[in-house]
Amino acid sequence: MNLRDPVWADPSGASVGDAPPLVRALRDPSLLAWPALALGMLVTLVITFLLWDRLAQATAQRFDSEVEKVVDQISRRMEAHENILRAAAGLMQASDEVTRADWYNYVNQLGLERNFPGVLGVGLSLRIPAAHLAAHEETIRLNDMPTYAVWPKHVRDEYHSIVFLEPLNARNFRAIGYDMYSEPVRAEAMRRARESGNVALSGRVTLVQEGKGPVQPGFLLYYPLYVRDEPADTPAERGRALLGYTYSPFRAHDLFGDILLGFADKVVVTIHDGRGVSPGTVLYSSAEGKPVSSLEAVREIELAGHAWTVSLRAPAAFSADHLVLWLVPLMGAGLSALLFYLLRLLATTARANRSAHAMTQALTISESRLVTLLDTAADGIVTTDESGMVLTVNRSAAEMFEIGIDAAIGLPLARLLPMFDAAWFAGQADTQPIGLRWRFRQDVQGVRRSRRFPVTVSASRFNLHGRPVYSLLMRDISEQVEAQTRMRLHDRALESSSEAVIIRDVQRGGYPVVYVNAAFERLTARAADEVIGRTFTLASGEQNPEHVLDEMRWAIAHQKPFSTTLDVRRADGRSIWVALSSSPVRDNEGRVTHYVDVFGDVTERIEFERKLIRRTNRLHTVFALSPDGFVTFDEGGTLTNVNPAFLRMTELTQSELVGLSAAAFDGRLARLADPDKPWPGLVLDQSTAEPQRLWLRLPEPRVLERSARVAPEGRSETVLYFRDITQQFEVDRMKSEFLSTAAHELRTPLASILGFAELLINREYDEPARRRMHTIIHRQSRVLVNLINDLLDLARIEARTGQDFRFEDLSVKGIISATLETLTMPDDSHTVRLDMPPAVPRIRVDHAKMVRALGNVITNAFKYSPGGGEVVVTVCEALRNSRLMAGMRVIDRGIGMTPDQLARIFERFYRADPSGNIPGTGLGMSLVKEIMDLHGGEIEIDSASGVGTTVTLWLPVMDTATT
Amino acid sequence: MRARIMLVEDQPEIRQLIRMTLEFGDFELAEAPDADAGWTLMQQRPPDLILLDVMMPGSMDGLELCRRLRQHPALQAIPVILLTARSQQRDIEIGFEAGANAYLTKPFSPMELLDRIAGLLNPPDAR
Repeated sequence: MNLRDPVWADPSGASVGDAPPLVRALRDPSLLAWPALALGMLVTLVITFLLWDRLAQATAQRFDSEVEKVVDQISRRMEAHENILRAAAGLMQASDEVTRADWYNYVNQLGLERNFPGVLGVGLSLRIPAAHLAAHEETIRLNDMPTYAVWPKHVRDEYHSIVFLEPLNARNFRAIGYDMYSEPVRAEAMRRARESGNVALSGRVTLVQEGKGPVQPGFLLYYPLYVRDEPADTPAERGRALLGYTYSPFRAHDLFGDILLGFADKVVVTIHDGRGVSPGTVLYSSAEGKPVSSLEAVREIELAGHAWTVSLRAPAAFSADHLVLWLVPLMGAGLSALLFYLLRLLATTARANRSAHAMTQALTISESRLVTLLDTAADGIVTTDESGMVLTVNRSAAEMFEIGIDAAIGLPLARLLPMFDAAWFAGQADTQPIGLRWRFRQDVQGVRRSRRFPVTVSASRFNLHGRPVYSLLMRDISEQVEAQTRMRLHDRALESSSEAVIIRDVQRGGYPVVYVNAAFERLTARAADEVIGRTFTLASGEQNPEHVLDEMRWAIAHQKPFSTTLDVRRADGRSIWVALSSSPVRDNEGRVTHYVDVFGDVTERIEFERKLIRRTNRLHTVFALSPDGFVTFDEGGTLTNVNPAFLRMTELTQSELVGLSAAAFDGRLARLADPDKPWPGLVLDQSTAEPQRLWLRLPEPRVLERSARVAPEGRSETVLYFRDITQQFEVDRMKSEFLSTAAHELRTPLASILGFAELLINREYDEPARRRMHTIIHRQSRVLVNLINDLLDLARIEARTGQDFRFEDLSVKGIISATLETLTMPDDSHTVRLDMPPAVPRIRVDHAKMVRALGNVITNAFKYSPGGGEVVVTVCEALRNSRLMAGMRVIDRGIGMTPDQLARIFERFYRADPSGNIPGTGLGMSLVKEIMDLHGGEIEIDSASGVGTTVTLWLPVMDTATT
Repeated sequence: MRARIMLVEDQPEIRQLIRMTLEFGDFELAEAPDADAGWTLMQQRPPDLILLDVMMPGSMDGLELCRRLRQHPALQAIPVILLTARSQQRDIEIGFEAGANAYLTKPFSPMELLDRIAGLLNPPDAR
């Protein structure tokens, strides 16, 4: 059985209580913890001892090995010195005469100081019988050493003297002549060498070479030298044949220091002379002050018939591998402790399991049903022990925390719900009674994949088998919290909206208002509680057209959304316009439950629009009725509008102009231009300072003034303004021309008057000539007077435009008679025949003016009938333009007029005969025209050149009366 | 030799006035009542000086005749005095542009006319 299985995931029902004690003990790790710790410690101890033993053995072996090496080194070195001495002896035996130089050569080539530190030299000591002593000394003194003497001087049987000792330095020089045999230790070794015929090592001595410096122990090595050809087989023979010795003196410290140079770290060596160890026999020691371990070895070395005792100790550091020594026990102890801890831990979990098992038992046979129930529960359910460790987790909880059920069990609850940490549980245990329930609605955070989420928790504590157990019911409220947040946002948005909002319940009668926002109260000046729960209609204003209300009713009846603009009466009686947008809200079944009305105040906009419309209409009226032309271009330079006046001026059509670009429009207009006049190009986008003048030839000659005005702000529309100044221009031109012509007509007679008068003054002429000239002056003066009179008449009539006329109902006949009476016939050749009908009509005229008009016509008839003849004056009636008119007709048979002349007949100063033969001012017919126009009459002229002219003055008939 | 003067003038009173004015000097006068007649006459026999009215009926006025004779090889050097009732500065300029040598506005002084004629027939630098 898995220790971590949740109890309700183990449907076998097996329980701990059924197992045998051993098994139970095994299942309960707490029983195993202490034995396990003891065992672990024991094993560690044993292993440690074994290990230490092995280590000690290994160290001893290593030490022994070092000891052997030391002994070996010492033996070898001393053997080398024995051989040096044997070779020196060989040199003596092989030669008859060995000089000091030979000896020097031999020793020098050995390189003692370099190769064999510690040896002071290689020397030769000769035996000198007492009888030969003086001779011997003498020989040597003579040979090469004047100071030579054998010493010490006391008398004895035979003397031994060091003859050669190389290298012959100051120290060795001191030894020359010394009798080593005089000293017992050396003598013993020398005797031994002599008797054995072999190398002999001396005991400890102080060398004679030692000077004032530190004195080292010393010893010597001797090799006997026998006389050639004498028997030397027995000690006695060898005693007799002895010639001397080759020998080497050694300073012990220097020698052993060199030999043991490589062992200084490994062994501490003390060498004693002879057998046994005593402080008095020390030759050499490297042990001074050094810590040593307990390892020790003592060896005796037999060398050249003499013994050395070598005592060796291992240095303190030799065997001390502390890390290894202590690592094992430490690790062993640590592992044991760890094992102990783990077993204790398992014991806790197992205890939890046991509690759970106990609960399981309590659940009895309905357990599986309960398991199912818990697993299908929508809420997460977790139980913990009193320390907060999770005992059970149901499926919903596992899903909520996105953790496996297995992984959750045994975890501290704080890992899932940080609020419920050990401190919390500890607090509950101390203070709260069993069976209490807590509910945590807010501020509880769950942890899911390291992210926190809100949960509600309901916790309770109960006792199960004597142990407190906590059960926690929890629910993930993330979505709920989010929804609440969203709702709050929506509420906030509604409340802070500048648009008013009303919600109505359409499932209740009268569609009562259930909600209004702050903007509603502001816009309608009504408090929320005035309208909530009541029927409220927005369409309360008086300006709402019926069709708008109908549309609203229809939309509500058909549950459709709608938008409209409404006149709303506020609570304070003011009326505002609102833009309303209303839409139904449906439930899940599609039934409309509410209506939401959203509206904003658009009063200003509506009023502005109305003003704009009125203004636009006025402008359109001006535009349409204006006698001046308007053409507008939008900001893109496209022609948008053209008014009727402009179309009349140009006889272009709206359809061919609208949509043209400015350039195309200018081109179109230029086709109508007078090619003789300059054409100012059209420039949009800038207002013209001075109007530009356009001369059109088509459809008829016109002069237009064009101004451009760019809208100063907003869209940069351009308005072109065309003013027809043809009339004004023509009047100006005519005035100017009239003045010019009048002046000309006045100057012409004056030229004659002035000229002839000057001639008369300057020269004497005969009487006939004088008379002729006076006549001309007189006639031209008359012309001038007539001209001035006519001009003044014309000016007066024009200026007064008939205001000074005195209209009377007069008979045509009377006017004709009065006219004829005023006329004086120029000569007798002309006659007037009056042809009157029986009944003549009456006309309403100014008598004097009409007499003047008719008089001018009759006078012309006379004047243009130069050959004389009859002028007929008659009266007729006719319907002209649906009016009954009376005509006074004057018929002559004169020169008549060409059509060209006829066309210019009313032109001022125009005269059909410019020759001067026919007198006149050229203003007569102009006057007639003016007078007839002011009477509402017409002039009919029928003329043919060379045939004659008929002029009829038509006037409206008042009635017809018989004379 | 008498200087030949041609007068082109439509008004008989003015023709008579000039005729009588020229009697003060020793001139031979040729008269034409309109420009066409004058053009024909002067081509037949070029005068030494031409007196030319500006405003005359007919197909050609005095200005036109003046321009035309200034293009004619035989006539272009003849001095021309324009006589006209047009007295505005612009009219005078037009007259000189057409090729006139002098411009007299009506009414004019006959004595001044004689001075002008004399001045043109006997230029100061030619004397």
